[in-house]
Amino acid sequence: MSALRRTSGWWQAPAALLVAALFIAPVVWMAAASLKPNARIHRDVDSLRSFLPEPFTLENYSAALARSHLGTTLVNTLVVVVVIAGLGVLVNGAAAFAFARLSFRGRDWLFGILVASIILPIEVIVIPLFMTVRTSAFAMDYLGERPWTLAALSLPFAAKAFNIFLLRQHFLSHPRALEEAALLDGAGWITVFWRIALPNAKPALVTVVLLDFVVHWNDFLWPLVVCQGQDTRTVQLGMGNFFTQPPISWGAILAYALLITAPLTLAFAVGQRWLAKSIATSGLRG
Amino acid sequence: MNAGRREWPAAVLLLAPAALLITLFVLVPAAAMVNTSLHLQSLTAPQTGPAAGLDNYRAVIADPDFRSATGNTAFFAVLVVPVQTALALLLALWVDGPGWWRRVLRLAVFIPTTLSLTVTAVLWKLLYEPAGAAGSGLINGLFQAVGIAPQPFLTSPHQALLCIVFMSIWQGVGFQMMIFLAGLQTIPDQQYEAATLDGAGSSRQFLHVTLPGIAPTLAVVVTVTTIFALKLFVQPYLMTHGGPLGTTQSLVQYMVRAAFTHRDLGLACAAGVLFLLAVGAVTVGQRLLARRWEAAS
Repeated sequence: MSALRRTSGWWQAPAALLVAALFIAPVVWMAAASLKPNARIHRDVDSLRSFLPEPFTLENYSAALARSHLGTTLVNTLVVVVVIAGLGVLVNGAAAFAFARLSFRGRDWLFGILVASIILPIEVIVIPLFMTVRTSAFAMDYLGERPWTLAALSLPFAAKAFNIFLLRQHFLSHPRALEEAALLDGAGWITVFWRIALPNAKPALVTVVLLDFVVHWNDFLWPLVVCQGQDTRTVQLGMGNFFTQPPISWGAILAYALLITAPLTLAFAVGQRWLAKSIATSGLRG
Repeated sequence: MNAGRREWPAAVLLLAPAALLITLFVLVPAAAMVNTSLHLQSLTAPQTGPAAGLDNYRAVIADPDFRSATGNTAFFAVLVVPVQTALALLLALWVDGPGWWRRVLRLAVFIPTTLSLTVTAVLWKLLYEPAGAAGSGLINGLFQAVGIAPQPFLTSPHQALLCIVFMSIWQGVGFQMMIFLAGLQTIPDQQYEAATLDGAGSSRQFLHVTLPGIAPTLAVVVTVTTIFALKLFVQPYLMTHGGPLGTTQSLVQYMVRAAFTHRDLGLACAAGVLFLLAVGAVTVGQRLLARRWEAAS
């Protein structure tokens, strides 16, 4: 029960609603503007009419679909996100399990370095990462440009120090009894990891997958650097399609923006409870 | 744990995939960055150029564009981190509890975080549009309706970066609020009850119960927000192209421009190494401060 909870003045509800309205006003405006004729968007700005989808039309959405190659960008982004999250669960889960359960020389030292590297943002190494990835450009001839680019967009981000850290915390909190019993029955560590530890880590896996999904759905800088051809673009880069030739149709841009946000809003709605909780209580601190 | 059982072969197997990927995509690029920063190399040259000693570093530090990019990024971080953290904590305290209006506020503050930075940048570019022949953006339109003079916003060297600060806080504060909210739930009710019995008012309860209780969460939030602020890129890239007059160009933007516009990988990597050192120094500094504060309280 926090301090503010008991100072219950009559003003609190109206004040909260006012703040809430200010926070969502831009989003409401964006939705309304996407649903009215393009020419009206700028004309309505000096009144509250701008927050109403009036006169109602879906023409911006059909323009957005016609111009954005949405199908291609959606498929590309989905492939990238699924590869990152799927491969990530296996690779990071295995490493996390080794750090949580096995004793080997240099373990704590290695884990310390890994945790320290969490602060390293990808933006720092985006140029040298591009140089490194470019050395495999010869493979483009065998794979084709689109598969090569999708691999370049996903493989570098499957292994992630933060996810290893989060999963290790979770494995540490598991009771050991079941695993010990399996070991006594002659199962190896790999079997214990695959059959017992990983299936029991579902809540943590949901968090990790959701984080990967949100972060990489929204990736902009790395795709900007790597994607060359039109058919290799991701949803965020797809926004650029609207600025290439005039006239710029803001209505279509806003419609596209809402279309590519919808899957994310859904993901958040399903998982934000787990997300905040597992980060706040992960004990990530100095 | 299972004394005598040899565990390292299993450990090697389990660690190998992650180790391979991290080596390939983090360690090799990091080493390449340091190496390239010490050589002359253009984007189009296939091989590493001649050794250049610290020439790239001298060139970067002497470059007025780099200096202003550093200043802009630091200004952005120094404003965003404390304001966003304080606002997030305030909102978390406010929405923590029962009542339908608390749920409404929680949802409203959280909704902007579900927009990507790309979407946010494009949306706010439109909202900030100055008054012109074709009409104006929403904010100037509403200003006009209530009799406030129209503002240049993103087209003004004095206002552009502040505009980016404002929209970044709007977009990001909801996520921090949710983390604080989760942190607040870990403080046992008994501590508040004990404080009430001792006659502590709400401000003293905040100082002596709430603040120590969420100290670990606060440390995480500040660190994460700082790193987010330092890697500023999408907003200036899409909204202002770093302008007007370079007043919104960020460090990451400087690096990308050095590499792809000026085609100078040596310069870009030197800037990258300096940026990495700065991020490391700021984070370690914050950690040390946080630890001292926790030890003291």
